Amino acid sequence: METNISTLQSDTSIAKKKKSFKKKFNDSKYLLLLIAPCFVYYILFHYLPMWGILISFKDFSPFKGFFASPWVGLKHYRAFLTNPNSWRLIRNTFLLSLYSLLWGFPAPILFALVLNEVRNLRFKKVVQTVSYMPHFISTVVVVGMINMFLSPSTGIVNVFLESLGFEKVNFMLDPKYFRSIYVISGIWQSMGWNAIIYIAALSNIDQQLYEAAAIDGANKFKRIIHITIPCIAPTIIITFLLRTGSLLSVGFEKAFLMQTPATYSTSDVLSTYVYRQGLISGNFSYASAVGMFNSVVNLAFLILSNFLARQFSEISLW
Amino acid sequence: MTDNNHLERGLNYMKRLIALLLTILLLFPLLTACRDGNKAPATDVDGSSSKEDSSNEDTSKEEDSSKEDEVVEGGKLFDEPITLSFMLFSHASYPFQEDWYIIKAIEEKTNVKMDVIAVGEGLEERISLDMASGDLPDLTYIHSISDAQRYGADGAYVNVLDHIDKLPNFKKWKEAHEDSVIQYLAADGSLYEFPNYGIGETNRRGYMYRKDIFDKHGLEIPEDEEQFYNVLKKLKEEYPDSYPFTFRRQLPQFEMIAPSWGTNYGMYYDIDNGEWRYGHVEDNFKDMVEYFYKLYNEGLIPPDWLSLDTKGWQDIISTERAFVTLDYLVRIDGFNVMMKDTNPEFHLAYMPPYKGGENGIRKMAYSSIVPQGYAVASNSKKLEEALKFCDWLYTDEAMELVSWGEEGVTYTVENGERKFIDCEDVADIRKKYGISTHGTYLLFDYDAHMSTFSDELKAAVEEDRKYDLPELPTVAFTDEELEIVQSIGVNINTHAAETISKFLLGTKPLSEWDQYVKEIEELGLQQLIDVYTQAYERLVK
Repeated sequence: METNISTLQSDTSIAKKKKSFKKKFNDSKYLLLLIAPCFVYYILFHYLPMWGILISFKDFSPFKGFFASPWVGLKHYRAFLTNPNSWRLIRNTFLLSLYSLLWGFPAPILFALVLNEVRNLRFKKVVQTVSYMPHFISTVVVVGMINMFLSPSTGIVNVFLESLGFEKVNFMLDPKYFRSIYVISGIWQSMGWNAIIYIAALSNIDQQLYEAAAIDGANKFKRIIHITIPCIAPTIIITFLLRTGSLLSVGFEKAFLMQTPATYSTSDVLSTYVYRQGLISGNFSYASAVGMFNSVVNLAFLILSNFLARQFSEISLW
Repeated sequence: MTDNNHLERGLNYMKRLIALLLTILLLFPLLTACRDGNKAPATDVDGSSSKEDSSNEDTSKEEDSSKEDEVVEGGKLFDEPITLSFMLFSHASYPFQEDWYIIKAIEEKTNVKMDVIAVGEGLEERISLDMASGDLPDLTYIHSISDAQRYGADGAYVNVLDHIDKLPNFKKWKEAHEDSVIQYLAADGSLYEFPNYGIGETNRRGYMYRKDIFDKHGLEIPEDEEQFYNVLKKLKEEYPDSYPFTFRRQLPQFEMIAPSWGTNYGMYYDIDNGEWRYGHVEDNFKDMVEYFYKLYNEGLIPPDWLSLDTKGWQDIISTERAFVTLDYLVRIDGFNVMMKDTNPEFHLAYMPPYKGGENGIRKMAYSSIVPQGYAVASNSKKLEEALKFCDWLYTDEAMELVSWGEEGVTYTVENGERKFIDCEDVADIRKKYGISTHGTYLLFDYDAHMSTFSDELKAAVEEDRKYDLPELPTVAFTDEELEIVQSIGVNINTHAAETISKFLLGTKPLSEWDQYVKEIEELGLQQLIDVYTQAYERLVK
């Protein structure tokens, strides 16, 4: 469906002819009805709350309320950007997401492709179910598991390393492993779940294409390259674009639970730092200033990657 | 008919709309999502506590309460039944029950119907949301002094001191416990929270050792860091797979350890010299770091001690690979009971602190108070009644009731000693009767908890009191000061924790200590110290 969006826009100019609103409304009332819940949802939960951005320019106090809180201009933005740590925080946040994207993004695609080639339906279902199970495990538990597996005294990974004659590694206390652990455990947790969308896209591919290709003598690998991938490319590109739009949004929970002061140099991200500044006790204005900064950067990334996608392929968000 | 035409236009219109909507949908959730993301920390208040695990709660000092105050004789606190709304924390291990004995008993005594909103996870977030709506319960059992102070300063909570004349019992208690009250005072000297007192002993922490193992190898209880090291060394020789000294909470555990070394963790008030200091840069702190690096290097503490969580710590203790630990003293009973089946010899006992380094002292930090208490909503329609209710909780009668309950119902007297009925430990008292759950007390008689302890644990608590250092003051900041604490202060703490960790792991040689101290000073240490000094002087005035 998304593939059509860019072509849709050119069509719209045709419908310029004036027509009474009532009539137009009447014509499309059922379609409007269909989209109404979604529309209301976004207005209610995404547009109205955007007023909240204004508190980043105020010294907001919840009890005084929105209007009574004094305006302070760019104070909170300045406080954030002049912080000696802010560059490191932005870099860590960015790199952590970037690596998650680079390694975490292809994983579910490959997984879906492999799974698609499995002919035993029963086996396929079992694998699929098992693989998205970790998605439902709470982050706290996942980090607990990571801690156990990687423990230098009893952790299975270190026991294994030692049996192969390597030195034990203090994984959780060494800054250079933080990102890898974060990304790999993230892939483990979300690969199966994220593959669902690709599996769905794969199931929509016309089987005749494969049959035709098989008759023409294309082997399995060639069929994947020339049929499967082009068919799911729109899905891939759209999900990719959406992911780039959240490059600076690293989840708080996992980073917080995994980090120790010893790994701050790679593990300290925007959200954990803001947390330590006592935002639990609610400096809402500062938090929204950081959030706003985050969003602006994210938006810039989104626009950039969308532009690139449009340049190099037919597919883009708009 | 032009139906087709209409349809086509309708479709075009729809297409345009969909295109537009999709664009919007895809774009703007990001904005809002990010803002949500930054609220996330608020929900994770409990995440923090689970990371550092404070399985016990509440702290303050125990003393005899010597009050012969007036009691609501025979009658009830209020003549007419009234309803007050409460917001209380509901602990996962003993979730709030309306039909707990204690709730009924309080209602019976006071004629107050307790309309309770019990909040599990995220109490602080819930409170801040209620702030925004202005719809506050009459009484909130608040868990953070700074929250009470901030919302109080905004006008959400009553300054208790403004009403002191109406609070005879509280007044009497306050006069006898000014030191405890001062911890709760806001920057302008207001008190936005009725302090709690007595239950803090739950948080008493100290060293514990494996008496059976020490006896077996003829080891003496160490008195200074040298002996402590030798004992650990000996144990390591006997049990090469062990980490003789294992504790949890990572760096913040230095809060307990550092005072024995004549320094402290982070900003602290040096009582002897009457000044605020930053522990992390002191020479004594350096000695301690050097010592712990030695322990780490020789495998006397676990290699992952700086990331060891509660589970990992428990595993090491229960697989008998640690022989000295540092934690809540109530663990003595916990571990001894738990290990009885697997190893009847297992005997964890109290160990007095050792003197750390030349300038150390054979004492322990005072296990900090956790600042809980009742805040009264300033816009409450039943303000007078709510205040009166809190005041009642400061009577001896109330303390007796909320600590023990009633003879024959919750406890029996045997040989002059009170025993709870059908309760093995403190958790049972809470689950069964609701006694000592959040918000049911302000004054608490800790003997009630002690009655469930083994003799050994009782003795340990008594013994440990001898090693208490005085309670250190905390300060409340004005908005301007808070900004410095939240910017410069956090930067300093971040850099200090990070660098100290590196020293402790040996990834940075201790020869760079001076350089590190210089870096901390450049981050604005003096400014931070000034803020603390200023805030403190305002407080004691």
